[in-house]
Amino acid sequence: MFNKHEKMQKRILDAFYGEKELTEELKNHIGNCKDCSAFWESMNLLKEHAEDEPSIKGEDIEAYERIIAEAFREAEKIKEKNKNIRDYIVFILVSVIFLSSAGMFAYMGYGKVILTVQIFIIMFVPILVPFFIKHRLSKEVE
Amino acid sequence: MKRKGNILLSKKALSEKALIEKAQSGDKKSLEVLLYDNYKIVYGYLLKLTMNEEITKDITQEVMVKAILNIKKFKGNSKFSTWLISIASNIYKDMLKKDKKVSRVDIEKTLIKNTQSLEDDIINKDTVKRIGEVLLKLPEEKRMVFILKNHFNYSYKEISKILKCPIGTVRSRLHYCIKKIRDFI
Repeated sequence: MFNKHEKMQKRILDAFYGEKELTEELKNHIGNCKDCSAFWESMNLLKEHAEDEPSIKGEDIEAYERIIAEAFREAEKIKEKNKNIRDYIVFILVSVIFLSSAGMFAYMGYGKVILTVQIFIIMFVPILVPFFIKHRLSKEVE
Repeated sequence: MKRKGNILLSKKALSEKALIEKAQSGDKKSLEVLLYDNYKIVYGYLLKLTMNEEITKDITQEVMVKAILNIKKFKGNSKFSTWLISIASNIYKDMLKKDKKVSRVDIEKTLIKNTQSLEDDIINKDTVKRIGEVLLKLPEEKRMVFILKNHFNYSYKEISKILKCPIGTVRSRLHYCIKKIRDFI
């Protein structure tokens, strides 16, 4: 008996919220069963009071823009932080690869070549610095 | 005021889909419009869920931040508001895991409906308060289902997507909530 009500009430629930059709069989059952009729009534009451429950007050609506603007600032901070972490990880990885390759070449007897490459880098890389700065600045403007 | 005007103008001119596409390609203004349009839904949902304005404001802002950061991950197979509700539900669940005392009752302060007579007002506030109190006693995953269905009219399918659970579970949770609330009232 209990199971029957349970099953019926689930069907009534579906019908009440428009998930399924409210059939004649269900209508008759609600009309004749005291428990299921009370169940239907309580759903009506809950729906009715749903509109009375807490919602936005007038002054909160005016705070929308402030909160959204704050969210954008917060998101920017997080993006910046994530970017810094990414850059740091890339730097560490490149350094490790570079140093281990240099170490490996030195071990293999190419010490002289490494020294030449280093001198070359020290002499010519500073020339590229202004281009790197310009590139970074244009990226920041975008 | 001027910005509000711009937002309203954009709202009329562009559909949600177009706004999402623009926002995903990096247009900040479109994203702002989307968040502005859906703010009330997210705030209302969280307020009903937490019954606490301070916590609601904090979580709403967190939802907005997550939406801004992850807009490119939004696939567009649901409404934008559904996606935001889904984010809000996850944040609330995480918050509960971290701090079990998050659901502090603040129902009295959040009652806002003005009824026609003083008597009506008292009866209404009392019933709403009691429903709110019962709801807060229910497990949060069941409460979420009830709020999404009873207040926002989401379908079982949508709720199952938002809360990542089967449709049968949604139905059982809703039935459980109504039975519990009915017993208390």
